Amino acid sequence: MSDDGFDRWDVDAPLTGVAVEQSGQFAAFSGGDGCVRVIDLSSQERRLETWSLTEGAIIALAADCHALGFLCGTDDGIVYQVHAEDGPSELARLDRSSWPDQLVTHASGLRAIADGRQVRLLDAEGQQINSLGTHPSTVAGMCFDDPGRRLAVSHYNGVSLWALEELFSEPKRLEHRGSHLSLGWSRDGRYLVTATQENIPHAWDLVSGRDIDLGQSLSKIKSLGWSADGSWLLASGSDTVSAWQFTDGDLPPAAPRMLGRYSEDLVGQVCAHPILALTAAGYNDGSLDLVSLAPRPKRHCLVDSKGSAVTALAWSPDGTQLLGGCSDGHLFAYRFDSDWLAQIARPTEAS
Amino acid sequence: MNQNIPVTVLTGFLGSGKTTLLNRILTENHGQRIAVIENEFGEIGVDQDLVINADEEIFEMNNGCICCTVRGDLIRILGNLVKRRDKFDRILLETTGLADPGPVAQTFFVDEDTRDAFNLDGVITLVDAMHAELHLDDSDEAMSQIAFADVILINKIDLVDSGALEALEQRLRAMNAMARIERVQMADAPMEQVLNVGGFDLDRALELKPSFLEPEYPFEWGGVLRLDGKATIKLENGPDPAMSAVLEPIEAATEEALMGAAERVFTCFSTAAETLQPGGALSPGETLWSMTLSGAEQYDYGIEADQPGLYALFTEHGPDEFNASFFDANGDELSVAAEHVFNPEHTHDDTVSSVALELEGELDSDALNAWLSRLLQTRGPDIFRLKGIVAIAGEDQRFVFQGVHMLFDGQPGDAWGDERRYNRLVFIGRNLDEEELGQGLRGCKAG
Repeated sequence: MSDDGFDRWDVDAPLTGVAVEQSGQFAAFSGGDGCVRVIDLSSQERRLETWSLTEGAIIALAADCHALGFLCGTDDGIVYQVHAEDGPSELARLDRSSWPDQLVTHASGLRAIADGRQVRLLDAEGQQINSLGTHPSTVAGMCFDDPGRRLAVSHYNGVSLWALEELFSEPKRLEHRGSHLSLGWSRDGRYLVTATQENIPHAWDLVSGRDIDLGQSLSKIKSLGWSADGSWLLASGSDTVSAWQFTDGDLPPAAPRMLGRYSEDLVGQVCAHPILALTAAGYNDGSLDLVSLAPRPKRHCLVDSKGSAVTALAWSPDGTQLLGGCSDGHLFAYRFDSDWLAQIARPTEAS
Repeated sequence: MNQNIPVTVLTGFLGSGKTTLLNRILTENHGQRIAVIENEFGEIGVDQDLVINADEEIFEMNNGCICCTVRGDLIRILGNLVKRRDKFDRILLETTGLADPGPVAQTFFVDEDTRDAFNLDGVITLVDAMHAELHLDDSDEAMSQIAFADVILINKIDLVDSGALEALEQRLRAMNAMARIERVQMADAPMEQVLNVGGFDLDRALELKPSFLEPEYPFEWGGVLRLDGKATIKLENGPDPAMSAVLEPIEAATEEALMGAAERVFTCFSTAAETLQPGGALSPGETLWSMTLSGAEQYDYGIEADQPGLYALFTEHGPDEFNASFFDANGDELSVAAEHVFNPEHTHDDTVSSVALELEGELDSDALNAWLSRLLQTRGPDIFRLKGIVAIAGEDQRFVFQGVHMLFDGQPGDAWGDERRYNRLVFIGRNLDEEELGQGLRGCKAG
């Protein structure tokens, strides 16, 4: 038996997000029906607890800055904190022209909420610390660096870097023409990468000051992230997982390594394992693979079926559970044996 | 079947009646779930499920396409709307008065997620009959709103006279020959005129019939009169001190016959006119008569036909402008048996115009590709919209395509079968040279 088993559910709404809260005990699925569904990963019962937040859709979901909590942004402009056991309560309300579709948190007790061209920065108690902006256009992506000292905000024509200890100072602007969407920061804080409207990820080296276009993907990159050891940048948007290796303190060649299975239905979601050199890859036809990042990559197929696009993926912090779902409301939760996963991640012996 | 959600774009200058039309659509709508994307200054008066305020954030694509600007806020809003379980039947997008519709249209060409889930149904442009001429004279955005339109609604027609309205419509028609032009009051356009327009639907491109293929004439009106002998035209003072006219025998009281007669008398209007004073009479033939219309309150001119029968009278201006009426020898009013308002020669020299090209036969695919891509590369910023149906040598199907500035989209259409093969292209753009475009197209002919 390759894995310990899995559970699945079908709900009548597209999956818009999935997250595991910091303690690793609970996961939440957010839906286009305005419901957040919470599962206790430690329980054998595998029951979904459902809370309805709005008539519309939940358009953003994140693990909150403290254990047992989630944040949800709804398309009526409200940000809820959702306690895994006690349910939702309102955290912030934006005006109707703003949608809280970007939410990020940091374990040190920071929450950032995109509010039009501003970013509202809240502390763990929900008090607003500051409002960052005004950015040149609506905030399209946000990311804290690993220590939670800086916040990167993407928008038209580049990225703004806010040093959070100097709250009233101007941000450092990284300029590059075009519309910059989601973004990812390498573990060591040196590299920042944005997905762009042109399907060309752009990478900045904050130490050398250089920046480059990475190779163009086949479609819009909806998901990008860094491997556990921080050396690989992983992205969706092509017919395999696109991966760039950042080594020796230098920017990688533009052309990515193509990892895993080729598929006519492109990769829509990637999600790096939190410990191993491994990533989950969700395709637009609903299939799901585990792909190692080893020199001679292996892959293991979890789902091989024609269905709806995988729209979100998340690992539990210990890397033994993988959660996700699809645009047709199919949700899944896998439990893996750690040794089995380690085998997939291990490099194949050269023959 | 295409399950994509249609998006209707409402443009028009401040005060043209966009919000009135929007509210009208929302209240008249029955059973359709409509989401409204308003501009930042929008004020919807109707209680509506979902109204989203958009910032009209435009950015330049980083793809070397010099005129390719896109509405990033629209991509984001539409991207979030498709996440809902209860997706919408229709989206209405209201732009600000000063907005150029180009970036909105280009968003639907450029962004794959938008293209996959939504259809741009049509650009509806409202113009205020009273102030439109002024706006068109000094605003690029107003020009652009006309050029991009699939439907132009001339609103507030109760505030201007018919002559001014006619002149405005002719001016709009000269700029955009592809749009349907409707006259309305209080933005009271029937829903079927503004919804399901299919302006960007290639499957419907075969309906492409630009209305200015009708040439320009040196006269504005032609009407058929049944004459038994002498008749009288009574005229009053109008905008001009004289009006020229030609009387021509005609075979039938139909519009078709009138169009034929129009061709025959066309050149008469460039000959020297014979001036008539009130009381004088027009007779049939190639003579161009000039009726003096000044110095009095009312003017009577005779019409002298030797043979009883049907005659076509072509006049330089519309008879309405002089409050004209016709009477027979007994003094009974004569009715006009058939009439046609002709497209007069334009007095406005707008930089935005439409050019339609027609060419029989087949085109060489490589030559057409090369010509169009060179044209869009060099003239893209000036070409607002482009539509075409072409016959490619060696292909059984029509090829239909459309373009917005430098962006291009095409697909095979219906099969030709035994039909005579032709090519038809329509451009709406700035500083278009019909001769040059025609030459380019002719250069693509196969064999």
